[in-house]
Amino acid sequence: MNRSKLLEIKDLTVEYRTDDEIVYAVNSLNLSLHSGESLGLVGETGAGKSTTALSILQLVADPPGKITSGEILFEGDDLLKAKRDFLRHIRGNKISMIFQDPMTSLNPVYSVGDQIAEVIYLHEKCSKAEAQQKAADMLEMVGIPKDRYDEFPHQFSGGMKQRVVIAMSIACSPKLILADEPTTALDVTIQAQVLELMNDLKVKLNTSLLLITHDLGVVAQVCDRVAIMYAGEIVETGTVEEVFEHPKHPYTIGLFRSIPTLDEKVDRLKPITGQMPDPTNLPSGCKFHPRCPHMNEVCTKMKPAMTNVAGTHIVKCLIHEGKLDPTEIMEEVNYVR
Amino acid sequence: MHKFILRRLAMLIPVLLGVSFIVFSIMDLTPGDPVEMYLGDNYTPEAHAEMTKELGLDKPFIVRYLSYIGNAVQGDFGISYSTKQPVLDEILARFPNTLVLAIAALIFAIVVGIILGTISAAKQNSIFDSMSTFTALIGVSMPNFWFGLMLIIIFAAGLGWFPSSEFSGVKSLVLPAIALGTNSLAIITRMTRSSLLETIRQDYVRTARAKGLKEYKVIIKHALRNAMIPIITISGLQFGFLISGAVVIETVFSWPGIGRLLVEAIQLKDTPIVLSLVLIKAGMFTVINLGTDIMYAFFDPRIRAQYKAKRV
Ligand SMILES: Nc1ncnc2c1ncn2[C@@H]1O[C@H](COP(=O)(O)OP(=O)(O)O)[C@@H](O)[C@H]1O
Ligand SMILES: [Mg+2]
Repeated sequence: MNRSKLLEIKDLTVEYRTDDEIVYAVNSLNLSLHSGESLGLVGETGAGKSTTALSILQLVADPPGKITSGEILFEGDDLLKAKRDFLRHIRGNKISMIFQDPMTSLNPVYSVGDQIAEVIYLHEKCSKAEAQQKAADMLEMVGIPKDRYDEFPHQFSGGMKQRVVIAMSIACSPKLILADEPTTALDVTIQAQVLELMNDLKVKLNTSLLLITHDLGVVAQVCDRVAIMYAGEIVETGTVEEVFEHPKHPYTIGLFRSIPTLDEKVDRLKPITGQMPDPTNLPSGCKFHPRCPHMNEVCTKMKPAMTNVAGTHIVKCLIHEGKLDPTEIMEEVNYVR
Repeated sequence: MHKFILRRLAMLIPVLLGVSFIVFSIMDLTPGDPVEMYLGDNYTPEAHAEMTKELGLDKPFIVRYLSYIGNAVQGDFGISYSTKQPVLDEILARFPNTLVLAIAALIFAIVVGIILGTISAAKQNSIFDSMSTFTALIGVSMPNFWFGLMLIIIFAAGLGWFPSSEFSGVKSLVLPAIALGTNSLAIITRMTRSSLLETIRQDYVRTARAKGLKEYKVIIKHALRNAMIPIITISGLQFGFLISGAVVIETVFSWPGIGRLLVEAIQLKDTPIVLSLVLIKAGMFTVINLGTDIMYAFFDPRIRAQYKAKRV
């Protein structure tokens, strides 16, 4: 566990400012990732997962997005303070990103091969011909025949496009890949293929992975560690075993309960009640309190702190911080799935 | 693609037939006697009757129309009533001048328009953007003859940098091309800006940025290339206007083009000249349209694939 930290995000705060309101998308978020490790970032839509990933490469749309504070240390350098040239050297080369929607993330007017070759030519000291050769190899690597190099994105299916995007993201052997729901837009069988491909490549290339998803099953399949995100904060993090075996935060527990299992009857499904809070007007105290079954007076006033509960398992909940009267609640919270 | 071009060119035939028929009818129906114009001072009733016969004007409308078409197919567009010269010679002497002026104006409008529009979009809401919006507004609303006169007063008469009316070489092209192209420049600037603002927000532009490309490359190679279709469309339309709309600028700069020729010919009821000029313009519009379609295919592989698939 003493591996060096590849990526460390400290107190990251990102807002989207429009004319009449501010969306608090990411709120003092802390997250770290060791080299070679795969971290699953899980949360409902609107939790701020994409914004977090985009912040790392500073691709948050500005306007309206603004990173208002925090540090993002990559191999010790703060990317938020980095010069443009340094950032460009990182982008696509040291850190690459796979976006959520493969249908729109390729440029329709260039051939898929050339789009891969572009990033290789940019970062590796090689000729255009060598870049094209390597791009063709990359296509083969993700299971697309070389002779489709000159075809355009509109000639590919969604799954094939996502393979192209993956080929592009691994082309320069990055240290870290940010994959933003890489399989959400794909149908189930293709989803499995793409995940398997990513798993293979991760092992082969020894890259670290930040895998964003709202699917806990995907995390179990691919990741070493997991971070649960709610309303712009990490509410629970730990190894996959720690969190899956002993979920602590009421939100995490709710997430697990909401997954239908095969032997469970549908009417016993227990989705988390309530809605995600309005990001322009977040609740005081613990942001989860309006939906929390164990909500207490103190939860509406006091902000929970990160509490280490076991090993690397950290929870942000007043119950586990010992701020609530334990007698009435602990039994229910320690629910093990 | 070759088949596509050939088929489109073949469509010229019905277009030209239709246009010529309409213009022929209009010229025939409007009052005024071309023979009177033709004879001028030599007018006598006998000469009039003789000339009417010689020009074939005594024949029924449909016969005259068909014989015009028959001759035109063989390259004979008749004799101008006013100058008595073959129409083809008259037009060949003037049309290239109009074409050169229109092309120069178009190049000016496209090059400067795309550059200004691109900077505006890339620096949206900056001072440059507001200035270019304001300038474009002036460019659209300013009458071009007035702008032409201003250019002459300042750069020709005042500073003496360019000739004002002498027709000689590239230098004499500069002021009329700017005067003629400014409206189009403003329109192309606005179109570039709005089209680019649309593509700049697209996911693939973010992908390009995530590769580590320099911002200008992201904008030009990835966003602008995708923004080209509406810019090409508007440029094609503008080219049409520039060819037919040069009348006023040709007058202001004493430019020997077809614009003035057409106005004079209509006034003198010089049907052969009017007809040929209108046919040339109709032909040009078709060719420009074809040109824009070919440009679409050049910029967008999806359109290219369509042309190939349909074998249109
Ligand atoms: N460009 C934007 N403008 C305004 N609000 C945005 C923008 N992008 C995201 N948001 C808001 O920021 C919050 C977090 O969004 P996002 O990071 O996309 O969440 P996730 O990826 O977890 O679904 C959401 O409330 C979303 O509506
Ligand atoms: Mg998202």
